[in-house]
Amino acid sequence: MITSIRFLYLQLCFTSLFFFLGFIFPLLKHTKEKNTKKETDDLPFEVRFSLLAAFLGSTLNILVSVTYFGYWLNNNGKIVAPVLGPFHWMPYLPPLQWEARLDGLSAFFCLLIGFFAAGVAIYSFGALKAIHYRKQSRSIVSAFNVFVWATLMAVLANDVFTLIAALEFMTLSFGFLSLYKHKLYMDDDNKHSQEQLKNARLAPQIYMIISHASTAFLLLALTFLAIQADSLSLDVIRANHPGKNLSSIIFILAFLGLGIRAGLTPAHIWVSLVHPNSPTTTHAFSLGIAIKVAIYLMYRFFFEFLTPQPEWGYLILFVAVITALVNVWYAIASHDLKTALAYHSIENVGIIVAGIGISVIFSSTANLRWLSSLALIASFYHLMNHAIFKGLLYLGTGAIDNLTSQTVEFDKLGGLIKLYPMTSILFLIGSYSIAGFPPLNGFISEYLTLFSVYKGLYFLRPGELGGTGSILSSFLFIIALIMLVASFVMTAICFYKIVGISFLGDPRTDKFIRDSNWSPAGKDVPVSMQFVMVVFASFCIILGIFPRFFINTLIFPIYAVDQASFHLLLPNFPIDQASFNLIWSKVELPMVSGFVFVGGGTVFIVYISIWLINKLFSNFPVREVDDQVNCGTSYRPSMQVSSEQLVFLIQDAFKFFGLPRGNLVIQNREIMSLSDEKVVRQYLPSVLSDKVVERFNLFYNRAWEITRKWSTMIGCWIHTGDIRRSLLYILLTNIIILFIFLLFKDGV
Amino acid sequence: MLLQLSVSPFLQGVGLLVFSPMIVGILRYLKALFSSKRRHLVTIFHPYWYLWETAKLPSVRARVTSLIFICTPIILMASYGALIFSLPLIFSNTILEINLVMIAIILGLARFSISLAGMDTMTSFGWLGGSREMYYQLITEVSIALFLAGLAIRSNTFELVTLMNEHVKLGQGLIFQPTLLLLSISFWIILLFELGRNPVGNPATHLELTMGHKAILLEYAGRDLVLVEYSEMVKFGFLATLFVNLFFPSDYSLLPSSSSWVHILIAIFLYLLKIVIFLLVLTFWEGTRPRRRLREIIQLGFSGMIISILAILYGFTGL
Repeated sequence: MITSIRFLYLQLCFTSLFFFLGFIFPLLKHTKEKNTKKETDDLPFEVRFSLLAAFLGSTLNILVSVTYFGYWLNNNGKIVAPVLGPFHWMPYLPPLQWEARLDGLSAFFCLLIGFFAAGVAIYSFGALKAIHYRKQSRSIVSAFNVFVWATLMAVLANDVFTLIAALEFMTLSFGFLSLYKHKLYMDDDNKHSQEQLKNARLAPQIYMIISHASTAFLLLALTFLAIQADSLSLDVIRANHPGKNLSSIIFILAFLGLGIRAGLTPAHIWVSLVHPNSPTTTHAFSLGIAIKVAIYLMYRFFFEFLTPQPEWGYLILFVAVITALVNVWYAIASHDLKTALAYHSIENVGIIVAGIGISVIFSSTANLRWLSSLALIASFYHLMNHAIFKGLLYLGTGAIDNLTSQTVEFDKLGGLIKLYPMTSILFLIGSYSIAGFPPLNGFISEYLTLFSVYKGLYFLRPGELGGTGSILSSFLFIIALIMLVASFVMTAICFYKIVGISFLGDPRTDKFIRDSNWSPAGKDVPVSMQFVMVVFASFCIILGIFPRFFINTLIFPIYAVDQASFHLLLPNFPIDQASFNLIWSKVELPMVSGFVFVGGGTVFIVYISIWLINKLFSNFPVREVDDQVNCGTSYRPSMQVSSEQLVFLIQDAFKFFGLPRGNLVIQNREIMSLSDEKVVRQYLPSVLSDKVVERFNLFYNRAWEITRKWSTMIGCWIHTGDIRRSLLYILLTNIIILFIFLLFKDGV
Repeated sequence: MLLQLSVSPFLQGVGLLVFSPMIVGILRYLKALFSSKRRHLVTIFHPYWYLWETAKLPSVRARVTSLIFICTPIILMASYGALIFSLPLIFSNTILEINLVMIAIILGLARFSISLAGMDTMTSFGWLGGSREMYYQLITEVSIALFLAGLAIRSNTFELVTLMNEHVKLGQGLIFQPTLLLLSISFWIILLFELGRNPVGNPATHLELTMGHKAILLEYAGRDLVLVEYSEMVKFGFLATLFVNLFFPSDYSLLPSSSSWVHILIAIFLYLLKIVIFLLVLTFWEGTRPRRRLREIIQLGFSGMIISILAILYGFTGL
């Protein structure tokens, strides 16, 4: 116990030291830059130092978390979560203390954050050499250090104040990172479209607004909890659950705040706007794992701070599946790699949160604990898997971004698999994984999520379970199932489009542009970048083939800490040893390695026999030709399909949802009647998906207009400029706060 | 006896691998018979001859194509091979245990790969076939999800062997189960989508209006084409066997490994009979149905989904 507290103390001290050095050094030192524009130049010394500091700090966290899980395995689950503190921020100010706690969940997140930050740090050694990062490399690495530190602190915090402060640090540092595109456009001489400039300017603003909206709700929820428990320490809050009505209020507030931060559907627009404007090197960290801090807090809130109620589960599940479907739809309609991947992140957040929803629904049913555990395990495992394959995809995007000098639009790419084979094949592994196909990791967690939905459907039959299930709940589950499966399939369709358009075929950009801007064919990214991508890709394969091992060693210990006292504190928490043992007897986890082995054997036998026939009866095994079958005309790269034509049918299938696709019949008739080339081009399929506007964006614009109008009116009426009036408002506010405090002090 | 125990699961997989082209051959024969095209009457061994002749030709690969074009036939064969060795044909024990979710996912993997191969050649036909395949994928997978929901409500398991055992136990009462009846209709529609038969597609023609995945195969030749065509035949054999064994099982479709030779012979005969009846029904269906337009096909998919939802409703009543 004592040693583990010292351990945590050392971890915090050294992590903070490393990241502080990494933050401050690039700001203090400024080596003079040689005025050359070659990519072979090394990074400035302070940038390398800062990256090294980030790497060391994150490696330390990996080691600490691995030690934690190792302890758990060796001592048979007998270690206590060490709590450090409370320490005073300032003497004589009792509420402002800080506490840190390292339990299974924190250790799991520390491991992932450390893994990602270390990977991104190594990757950045190569990636930041690109010309477009030159001027800003110092500020990027500096902000990256703060970002990683704040993310770690948010995960380790054990009191309200530190938690909120860490979240604010995350907001500020990532807001600074999202200024990158704006600064880039201000600096360079190239002409950019009006829309690009506008988006780059909007991104940090939108991010600040949305994060602070989220923090406001979260602060309110945490304040209610703190008032109720009469302490700011999360340990005390864990021990004192609020009553049923207050719980529901806190749940709504927390779900709003965390949902906005995680990007659940009505609030998803910020993700695809902000993230493409941040530097591509930090994408893997920010969208891969930092966005999941909101999901980490969801686990904390819904299962630890509150007593979960089944009605919340339906709300969570429904919002989650709508998020998944809507975002994959916009991903299909998007034009460039970064936006599509940002939408996909939110889709996967939807799948993860769906697992939480199912777990909440069944957490209070005594004989279905195992189902609740199953859904939660699926959620945890998908969180880890998504972080890894999406990290791989983002790192791949960053590599493409560097190789093609910031060309990421689908209709300007093409044929990358022959130009840069290594990056492309690694990206392909990530695509197969995110599309959910065996033997890669995305498949296992999607399979488990799907299975928990099916089992839930069975147990929610009307009349079963003493009337818990009804026709309504069953139909809610069926609708959720349809949306979930549709989003799985549409992910595959979207990656068919992404891989097909940008990696296969021939390049769509003219040759002289490629020769002057793109990296020459065969000259792939530096070894440091390739190494990180290879590590991520191999984890994609390992996590897919040996899922049982990782679930047993990483996910089960999350809540296995100190079983006995834990269950006194949290009687409603679903995972325990008994239910965990039940899961594997009820769910058939496929033997992926068996499938790979048998499939491989079949191919081997069939291929050998065909090869033999070919060898015996024919002289030419393989013939290389210049052109493919093209019905008489010779092939030109401009004949290739555009990204919008490819998903034409899918967009057509969703017409009945009111998602706009354009009325084709009328358009065809118009095209036939018109001969003006300009007008015809306006109606060609290549521009049709421009019409897939973000309905949510339009909604927010309208809402903003109305709010502005009314707030101007009310503001003119309230604030007359009279100081006495303002003082009266302050008095009234104080009275109301006092009243609320008295009302909720004893619980509702 | 021990030898039989260890060899029987392997043998039935190999048997189905060898027999699959003949199933396609029988179907072609029946179709020619049905449309009274006497000069097209081919023997049921025609697919073997076709595979043999094609295997002798060289593979042709265009300059545009990459690694994916070469790997796709291998991925197809591996996925269908894994499926074949997990299907109980006449013996109840198989090399791999499989459930229906896994089957759907592996079929999806094959489809995704072949669509990517279509993009790799980047011909007009390649992407056309690929995008159609992915469109069918969307309809099929959602239909399968609802079909599985119907099964889940009924019996709370997706394990193939367990489900078949349950259906065997029902015996004669199988046809009086409204849920199963509706689910079998729904599965029939899923089958049409998976195999690209009428009204979804027509594998026998080479017209861009009717082609689904056949459009992708235009670029393949020789060795590669044999692998692709053979894996398509294996897929047909697998799905046909799955359909007849899942919904029309007999006591002889789940024999223990140690059963006598007479029982095995009866089981093989019954299996062949069921397959031929299945092919007759398919021939009749294809011969009397026009091919629909591409945008109308989704209506067929929707009708399948609605039938599954009806089955779920019946499942609530406990029938």
